[in-house]
Amino acid sequence: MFKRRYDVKGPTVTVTIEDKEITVPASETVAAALLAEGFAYTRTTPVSGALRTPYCLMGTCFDCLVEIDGIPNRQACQTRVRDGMRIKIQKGARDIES
Amino acid sequence: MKTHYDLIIIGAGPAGMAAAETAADCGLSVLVLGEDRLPGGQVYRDVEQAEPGLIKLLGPDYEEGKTLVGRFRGTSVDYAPEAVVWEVEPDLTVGFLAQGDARQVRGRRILIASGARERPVPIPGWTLPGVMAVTAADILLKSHGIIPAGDTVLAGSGPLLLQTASRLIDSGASVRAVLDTTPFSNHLASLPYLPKALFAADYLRKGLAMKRVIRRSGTMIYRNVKRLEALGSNFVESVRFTGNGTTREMKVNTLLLHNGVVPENQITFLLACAHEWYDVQRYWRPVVDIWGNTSMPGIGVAGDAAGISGAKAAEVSGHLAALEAAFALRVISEAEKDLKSVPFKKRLSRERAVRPFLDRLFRPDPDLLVPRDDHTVVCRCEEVTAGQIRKALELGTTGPNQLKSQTRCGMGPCQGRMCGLTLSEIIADYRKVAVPEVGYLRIRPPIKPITVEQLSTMRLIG
Amino acid sequence: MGSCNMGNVISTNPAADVLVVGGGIVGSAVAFGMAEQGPRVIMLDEGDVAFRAARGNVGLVWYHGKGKGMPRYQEWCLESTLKWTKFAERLHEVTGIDVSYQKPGGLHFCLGEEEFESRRNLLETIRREAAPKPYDFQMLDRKTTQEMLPRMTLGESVVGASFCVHEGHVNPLFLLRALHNGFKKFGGFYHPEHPVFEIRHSGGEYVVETPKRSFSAKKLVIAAGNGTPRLAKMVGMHIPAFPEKGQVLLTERVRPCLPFPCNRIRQTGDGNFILGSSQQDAGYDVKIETEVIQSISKHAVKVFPLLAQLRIARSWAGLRVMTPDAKPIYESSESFPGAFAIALHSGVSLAAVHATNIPRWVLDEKRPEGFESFSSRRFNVQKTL
Repeated sequence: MFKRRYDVKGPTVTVTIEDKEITVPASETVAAALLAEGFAYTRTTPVSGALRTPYCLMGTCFDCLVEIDGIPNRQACQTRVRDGMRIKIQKGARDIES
Repeated sequence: MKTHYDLIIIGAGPAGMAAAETAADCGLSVLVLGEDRLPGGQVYRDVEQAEPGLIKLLGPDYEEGKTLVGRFRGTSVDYAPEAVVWEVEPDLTVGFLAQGDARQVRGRRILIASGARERPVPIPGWTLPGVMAVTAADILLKSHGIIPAGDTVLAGSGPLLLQTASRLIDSGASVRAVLDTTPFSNHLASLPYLPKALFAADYLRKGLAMKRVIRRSGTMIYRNVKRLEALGSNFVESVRFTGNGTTREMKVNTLLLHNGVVPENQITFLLACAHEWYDVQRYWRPVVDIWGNTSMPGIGVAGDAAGISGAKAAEVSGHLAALEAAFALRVISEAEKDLKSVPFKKRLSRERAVRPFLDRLFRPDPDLLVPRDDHTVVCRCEEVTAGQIRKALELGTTGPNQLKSQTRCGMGPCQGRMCGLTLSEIIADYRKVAVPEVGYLRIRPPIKPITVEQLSTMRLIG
Repeated sequence: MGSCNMGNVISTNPAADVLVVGGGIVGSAVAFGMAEQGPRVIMLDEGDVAFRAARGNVGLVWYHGKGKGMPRYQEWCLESTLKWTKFAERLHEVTGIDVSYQKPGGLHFCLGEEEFESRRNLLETIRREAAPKPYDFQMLDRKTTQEMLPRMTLGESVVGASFCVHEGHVNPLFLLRALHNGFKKFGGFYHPEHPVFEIRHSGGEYVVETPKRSFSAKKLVIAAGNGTPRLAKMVGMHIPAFPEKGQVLLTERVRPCLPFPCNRIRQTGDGNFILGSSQQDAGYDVKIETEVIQSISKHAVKVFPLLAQLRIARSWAGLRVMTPDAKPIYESSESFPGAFAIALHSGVSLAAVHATNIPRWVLDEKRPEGFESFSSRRFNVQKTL
């Protein structure tokens, strides 16, 4: 459970998270946006389907893997939001895309 | 960006930035590869864009980073932000990803200034949503002005525990408790190391100030905490612990864990530099001299990556490492190097003087290093539990690399960053030997993921 | 002093019937098979950072394409391949470990017409050498090959493949673990961290020296990977094996999409793709080389362009045990009866026969028919002893 300290001011972008359009500060990372927007989990593990959220937020733990713009397993904490970005929860192992 | 440089610095934190400054002053051609969008590392993360209100909240230690970053920006070095290093070779070739492309550069010297990472805190339930590293909360605050909502508890040991607790309280978060796992015996054991210098008093003063903030807000502080557990099914719902003699369970929305930081030494292990086990703080550090020289020619280390000494010491060691680079490349003479290093050496001793005391005061509780509960996840990526590892040990496996083969512990994307230390500790505990005898996971490239496409299309430096 | 306190090891071992030097895929398969028969077997192994070809293995249980010029080897590979299913079941029965052996058949891709023809010629030659015994393979054109792989588009230069129904793959790490586990269940004594530096014959027994203590037994099997030549020499055998480096890449986990193992690419049970492999004469250097892994990546993309999007999670370098003609050496010492040495690089494929046929040779002195072919004397070696 996280919240932004202040109302969002300054530049924003509109992203889609799990098919829902959300406006977030342009300087946020995908991980920060997911946490601030209250997502209960951001991936399910390939081994057991366990629910996970980001742990370290500095690129070390790889728990923040999500699908961004159709590309699976991207570290949400290392990726800044962008206008029009499509973000999805990473469900288990990735697929190979034709 | 060129392909060849005199000095390639990996990391744009205080050590990296300071090294860049001095190296540029000496006339070396320098490339700095930073993983983040802005320079500053973790300690001065995003200080360039921080609002005055935030700077005030985070305090003068953070604000000092602004000057350092400013000086770094004023140098003539080549700086690549968002550059992810995936390989460093003994011939001083560095492979990294920038803007989606894999590239190679080569230095005549490499300086590893990769800083520190959190020591893993493998308690039952630590993989549950809602459980995070203390530094993660720090990052959310510094970079994004995001704080935990609901009830927050911080648990563990180390200077960052109190610092983050007080920062979160000041920022408006509801911190219910700080669970300090620092063993009581540490207090007595560390006393002989308490230096008499002025800054130690300064440090202690800061600590007391933080505790005041915490207490004033109504946050409970529990000491000598044992048997930490995060409980819940799909997310953390409560934290259970034994503190001040009683077992308690506290409802929680966010549980922040911290048990000290350890060197981010993936690269020095990759290069097979000689390492030594620093038993007081239970981590591996590369064997280096005061100039940061490792056992591998042309490879130097500065800052926390060589051993945790804090931001100021990191900065100074960066300057010294740069002087060494300039000398090694015959750009300055030994006499000049020695002369220029005098103030830095003095400062370094001062900055490091408090370390023996701090390291012993915050010596990690052994119970947090070796999970006793067999169900506790050790390898987060592959979900390998302590029980599975011990079972493999019962079958006669002796070392971390064999255990990796048999259990998959260490095979996931983090490549042992979250489980390597725990794995060595479990083995040492089981075999009843010291950790150095057990060794560590063998680290191989890529140290960060690279796609088949990126690797196959990369232009080799030749 | 004394052995380490693990498993069913007791501090003073009773005299052993057979000593096996080497706890890799070869040594442990032979040890497993012998312990199963009843004799007391001691297996000695190195420590955690040994060169272990077993750990750098891709995991193919493969047969077609091997053995040109040595029909006995081709037969031996086929025998092992056909025995593998039962072998995997036996391992599971004894240890509870599922080594993930699957036998969907295997493809060897050919890039370009020349490669296709040369592959066909090779297989036809082996078929002729094997006659009158059957030799199973088919040359498939591109269209047929693509139909077998609906999810994996073939690269442009893939003109076809050879296919053999007997091919399969296994998790080599689980295999090693199962062999060790089974060995212990059969009463075998396993001593890791006991590298052997000397072997001698004394008082009717083979005495083996390690830094910690010595061991003795009436019979001896040396299956110590690249350490075999040095040790075998001490008991009258010249084994011209040498290390050949192989590098391999592993990708992130992917949902199942490649149903067949291929000569250089396979998808494991966990979903990772293993991309191999290289062959280099690099001594004992096990460093990963960027040029080599780049060429592995390029090859992978040539075969399956879709692999380009996958992330490489880690790499391995292993040292294969290579012989001058790339075929196995199975030697029994003339001057030191009861001492045997094995050097080969297909330890995984041959594990089934190692666990069944070789124990009979060692224990009952029943040398498998035609085994002279595998002697190192085939290299016209001078015995300098």
